Amino acid sequence: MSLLNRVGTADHPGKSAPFSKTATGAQKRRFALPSLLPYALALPILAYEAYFILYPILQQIRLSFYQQPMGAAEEWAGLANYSRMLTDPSFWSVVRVSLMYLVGVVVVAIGFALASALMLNRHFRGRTVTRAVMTMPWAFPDVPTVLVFLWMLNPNFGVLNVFALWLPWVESAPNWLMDTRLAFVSIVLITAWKGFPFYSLVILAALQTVPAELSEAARVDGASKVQVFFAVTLPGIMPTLLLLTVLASIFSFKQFTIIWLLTGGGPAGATETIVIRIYNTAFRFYDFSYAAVLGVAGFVMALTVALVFLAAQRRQDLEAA
Amino acid sequence: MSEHKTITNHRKQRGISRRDVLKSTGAAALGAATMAPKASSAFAAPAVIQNEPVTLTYATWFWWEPGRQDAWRFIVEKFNSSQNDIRIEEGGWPFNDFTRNIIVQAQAGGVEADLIQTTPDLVLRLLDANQIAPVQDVVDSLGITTLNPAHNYITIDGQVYGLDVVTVAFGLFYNAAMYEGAGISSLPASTDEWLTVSEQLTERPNQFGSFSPHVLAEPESFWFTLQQWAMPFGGLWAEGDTPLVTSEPILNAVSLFKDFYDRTFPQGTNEATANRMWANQQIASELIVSAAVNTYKAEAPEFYPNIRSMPLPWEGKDTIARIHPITVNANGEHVDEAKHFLEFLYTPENYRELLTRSLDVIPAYDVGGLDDYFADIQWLEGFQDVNYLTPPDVVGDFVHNNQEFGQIVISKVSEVLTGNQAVEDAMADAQVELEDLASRLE
Repeated sequence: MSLLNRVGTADHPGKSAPFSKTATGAQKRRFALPSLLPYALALPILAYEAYFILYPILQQIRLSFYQQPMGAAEEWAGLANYSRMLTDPSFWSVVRVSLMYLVGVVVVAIGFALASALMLNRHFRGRTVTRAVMTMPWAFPDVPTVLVFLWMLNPNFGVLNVFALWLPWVESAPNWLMDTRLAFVSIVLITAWKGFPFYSLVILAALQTVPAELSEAARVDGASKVQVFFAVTLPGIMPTLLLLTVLASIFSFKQFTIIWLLTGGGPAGATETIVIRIYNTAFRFYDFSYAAVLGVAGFVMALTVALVFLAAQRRQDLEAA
Repeated sequence: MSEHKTITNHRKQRGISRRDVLKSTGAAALGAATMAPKASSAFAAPAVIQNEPVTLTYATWFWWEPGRQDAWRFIVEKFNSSQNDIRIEEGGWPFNDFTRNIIVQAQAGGVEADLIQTTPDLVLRLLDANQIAPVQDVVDSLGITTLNPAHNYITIDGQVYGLDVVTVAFGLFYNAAMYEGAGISSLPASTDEWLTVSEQLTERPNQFGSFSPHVLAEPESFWFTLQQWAMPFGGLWAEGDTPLVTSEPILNAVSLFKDFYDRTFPQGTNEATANRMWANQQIASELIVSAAVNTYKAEAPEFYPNIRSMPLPWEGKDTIARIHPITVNANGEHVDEAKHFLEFLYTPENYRELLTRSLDVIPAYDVGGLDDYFADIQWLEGFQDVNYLTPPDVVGDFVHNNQEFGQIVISKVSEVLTGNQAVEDAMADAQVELEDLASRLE
């Protein structure tokens, strides 16, 4: 039933007044107005998004088929930019690093978030303070956070080296951001540390919606804590976890500030994600057309990741139904 | 009424640009400022309106640079006071944002400023894009015949397209107090001796014998300075469109860099931290460009007296000098007025004043009268009897794509620094990528 049908008229509730033979012109206008209101209210944001989001995306896609040297007219390039990208071995290296980074951040961030949410879901003294302190990494802006980490990770006087040197197998101060493996691990951990409080709070909210009776019933039936977690709690929060996985994937895929300021994509390309490559191509090498192609590739990758998770969620919903 | 209509129509045809708004606001402010002290004169206001000055925007990063900003503000104020027709106003961004913003403006339709400060890379990009006007007439009108040959790469058909306002050349600077404190009485005469002395001065984690930018989070600084490390071996990174990174001089240069990194650098330290350590007298020597010394005079006055430059410890004494030309926006509305400012700037008296106030040491032309000034600079020794090379000498045709070339090189050098690859292998990989770049740029 349409909105108009449901609104009806004062005399005949639910009756289709605008199409009634007896309705006057004024009545038609009066009852036609509410149907336009939602569109009118949405128009400003739709116009904003069309101009500032959709239009640039379309322009970028368009630019990816052109070459435009600075100060010169653009020239149709067909698929040349795409061909260059697909045959460039360093592009595939960037894709690999991007996916590894994405998986690393999602696993670590969601894992920590789940663990901390389970902890905070229990009653203990100082829970409120713990929760407040835990959200601090998420609340800090990226740039100052990175600057602090740059100091902490400095191989000469960084405080983390003090702790690292306590480990029996560490003989010299680790060069955190100049070693390919350590640099990658460092940016994954810092990104995950920065993001996990948000995921933790959302998971905590989801945990509190899982009916306590179900857990109690399972325990009465003799289930262990681990069994209760896997049979009751986890299925209860799975839709939330899937949603957070999608969000964390997209956030980590878009991550620029932390990587750029910590490593600039180095050493030796070990932390160069596609976002870093796009920035370098556009704003250091000023090859805007090729940067547009990389942008399209990044867009497709992000979309694919999101669609895979959404498909998984839909399948789960269907199974539940 | 008809005049009003004409003006309105004219505005409608052109549209009102941001430049118009800025210009009219600037003119209004200037008018108000000029009128204020002359309030007692009944004829002051009409005179100002009739002689509305042209406002030129000079886009540069100098306004954010300690020391140099004062020198430029002095010169601009002197120019503004010397006549009533043209006013220069400050524009631009800090150095790290400058080139990107100018290129984005150019790509988006045109640079807004009338006078554009450039780097050696940026001037070529603007030249390729027909964004800058020739300024040979300024040189000719002043009768300058000794313009630094470093301008040759921006001279086309006898027309120079920019005038250098600061030449930066690498010198090997050292902290005299640290050297004396360590009992080093004679300065290194070779790169091996420099390495030995630097190692002697290294006491990790508090003191280091030398530093050069080496983190990929600062790619511009890394590449900018790394190029200089080829100079002790007479190395060139490319010649024409042929990369030479597997040549013996370049392999020696990267090996030397690696030795210094391993034995004397504060590894993994970014430039901001290193600058602080240098000023705090925790770093003993650095390859630094002359123009940067001004910053230490302004910001580290206790440390500044200890700065010296040593004669370059290699044969030939090659060093890279980069000019930074001021250019005139060819698509601007006030090309002639902008050139008039350049003429004022390059007049010997004014140019000498700019150079000395900026604490620069390499004049763009033989301006004369600098002997007393040079005699007072305690860190000048290393800049005497050197052989200057320009960016095109060092990177060939890749000067048009210097950052892209540099990114490939520093990425491979970082593999050497991390110990993942031998110098020869890393540079062989770089050579392949650079040849690919060359073929793409053809």
